[in-house]
Amino acid sequence: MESLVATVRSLYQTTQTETQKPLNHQEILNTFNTNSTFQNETADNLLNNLIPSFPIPEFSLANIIILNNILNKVMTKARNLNEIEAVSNLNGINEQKLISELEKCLKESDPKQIDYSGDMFADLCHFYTNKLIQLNQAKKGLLTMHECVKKLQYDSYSDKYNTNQLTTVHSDLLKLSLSSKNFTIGQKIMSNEILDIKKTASSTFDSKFYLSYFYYCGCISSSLKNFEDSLFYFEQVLNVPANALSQIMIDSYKKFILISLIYKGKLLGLPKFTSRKVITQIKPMCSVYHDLASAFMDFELEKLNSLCHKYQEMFERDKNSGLIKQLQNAFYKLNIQKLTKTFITLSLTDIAAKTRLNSTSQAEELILNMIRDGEIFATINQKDCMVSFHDNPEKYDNPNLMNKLTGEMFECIDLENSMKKMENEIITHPHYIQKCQTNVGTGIDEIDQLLQ
Amino acid sequence: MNFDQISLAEKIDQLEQIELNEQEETNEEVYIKLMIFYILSDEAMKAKFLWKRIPLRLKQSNTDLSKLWPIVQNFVLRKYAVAFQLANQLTNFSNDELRNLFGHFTERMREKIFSLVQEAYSSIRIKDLANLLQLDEEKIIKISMQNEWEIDESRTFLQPKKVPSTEFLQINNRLQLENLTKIVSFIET
Repeated sequence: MESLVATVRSLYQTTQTETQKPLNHQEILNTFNTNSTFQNETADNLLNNLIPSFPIPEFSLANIIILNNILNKVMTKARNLNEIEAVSNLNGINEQKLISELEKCLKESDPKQIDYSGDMFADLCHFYTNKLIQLNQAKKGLLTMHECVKKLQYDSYSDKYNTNQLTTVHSDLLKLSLSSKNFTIGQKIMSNEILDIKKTASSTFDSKFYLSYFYYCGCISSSLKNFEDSLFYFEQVLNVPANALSQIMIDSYKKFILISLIYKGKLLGLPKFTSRKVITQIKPMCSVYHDLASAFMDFELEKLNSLCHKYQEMFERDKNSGLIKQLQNAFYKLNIQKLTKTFITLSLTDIAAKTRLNSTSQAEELILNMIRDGEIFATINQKDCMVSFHDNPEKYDNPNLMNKLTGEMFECIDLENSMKKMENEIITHPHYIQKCQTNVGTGIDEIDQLLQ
Repeated sequence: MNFDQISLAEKIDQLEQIELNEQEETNEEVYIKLMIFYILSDEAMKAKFLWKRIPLRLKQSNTDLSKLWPIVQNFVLRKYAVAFQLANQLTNFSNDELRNLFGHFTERMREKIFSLVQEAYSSIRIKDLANLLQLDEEKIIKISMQNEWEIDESRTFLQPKKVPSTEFLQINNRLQLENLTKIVSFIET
């Protein structure tokens, strides 16, 4: 083992004297992979003896490789465990020590060396997240994971941090936020628009992480009642180009149905570019939800309540019981909104009767809350027990609206500029130019010219 | 009003950072302030999740936090009468700063509900308003008169005065022109 330590340290040493030369990471990786003592050493021994010889942040890459090796040795290999169960029983190692070493490595590693490690650093992050959730200590990992995301967004070619790049660790961070019920960091991450995906020659990006990132974004937005945002995120999960259906898509679609009923009062359709295969396969899987939707939109309170009661267990398994309760409340709200379209004034008793509420005081309370949320414009007259409905008083003639409008226009302009940049990158890419040249004379080139 | 809102958001940010940095050793005071600020800035859901993640030892029945929670919970559920009733009963606090903050909090919430009633009702029973805000009827009448509401002959109904919203941001002409130039030049390219 001493020879291993010496070899690796010497590889590091050569770069320190010649600062122009980058770290020879391939050589370091090979040294570890070919050393049989290292491969056969027990995880415990590695943790106690080898890790301290490579302090972070100088020897981050070595540390990452060793930790990865340890994890592969201690995790149970059974195939039918979910990811949380897989980290629950670690054989032959001091769990506390492992977690603290892991935390140190994740917090203090050098971003340049992380870039060389390929998938290994991300795997460490995934393990750390799942372990914290299994131990019910999710809150501890929030700041650490936030640091990890930032480090993974580092690009060694341009020496910059790309905050709009999606990494596999994004979904871990949101998973920790949901588990610890602390959405402060989660919301910061969500506010960065995703324009790129981290995928280098040495690292992969499993689609599972893409889908789960947007699914968790949707869950967090809907917990905080930002229904507009949550609809957008669930839609993102569903319109990924796909040839096969993922369980994450099914869960997203179920929540999508419920939230579009609660927020918009009707079942929104999926965009045209959603994959045909996804659409045809997903609808039969969510037939109960579609039944709920039709009962809701047809104003059938008994049918809605009986469906909610009958399939209660299924909704609990899908973790949608909270949304179902909100759906039942939204039923009354939707019907009051429908009444505003037909009547100018209406008595409280009539409102209670038409919307199937139990009492006038309940109706009054509901209308007061709806006025507070800006969902209707009305005034209640207790003396005559009447409610007068008004039109939206917004005249679109004030500076507040002007500011809002210019703000949105600038967002569109920024989006256009980033689209142009992406288009330029593709057009000047050698692969694209090569393809264009091979297609000369096949008719594709002419069409391209016609379109310009 | 705007300045108040900005500094409220900053205070919330600071407290959230403290909570993340101190983790389990976070002071009870941080949680109390954070909860009050969430309700004041209309972020009821965040207050609800804050309560869910507060460690169990701080939720014991003798802490300030456990006495504050029923009030906050009723504000989240929009049961204003119950909330104000409990708030009237809560007078013991461990230090003066919290007592003042809580006093300011109940005052502010009463103002908010009062302006909601002003916006939503064209006539309301004095008894109902007194119940909603948990104040004496004489005090209600006094506050209504100060806000130029009208009272009917039988002295049972109040008629709120509609106040047109006069909150306009100042127009900075140079900034507007700058924005307009940017947009037009974008369209032209």
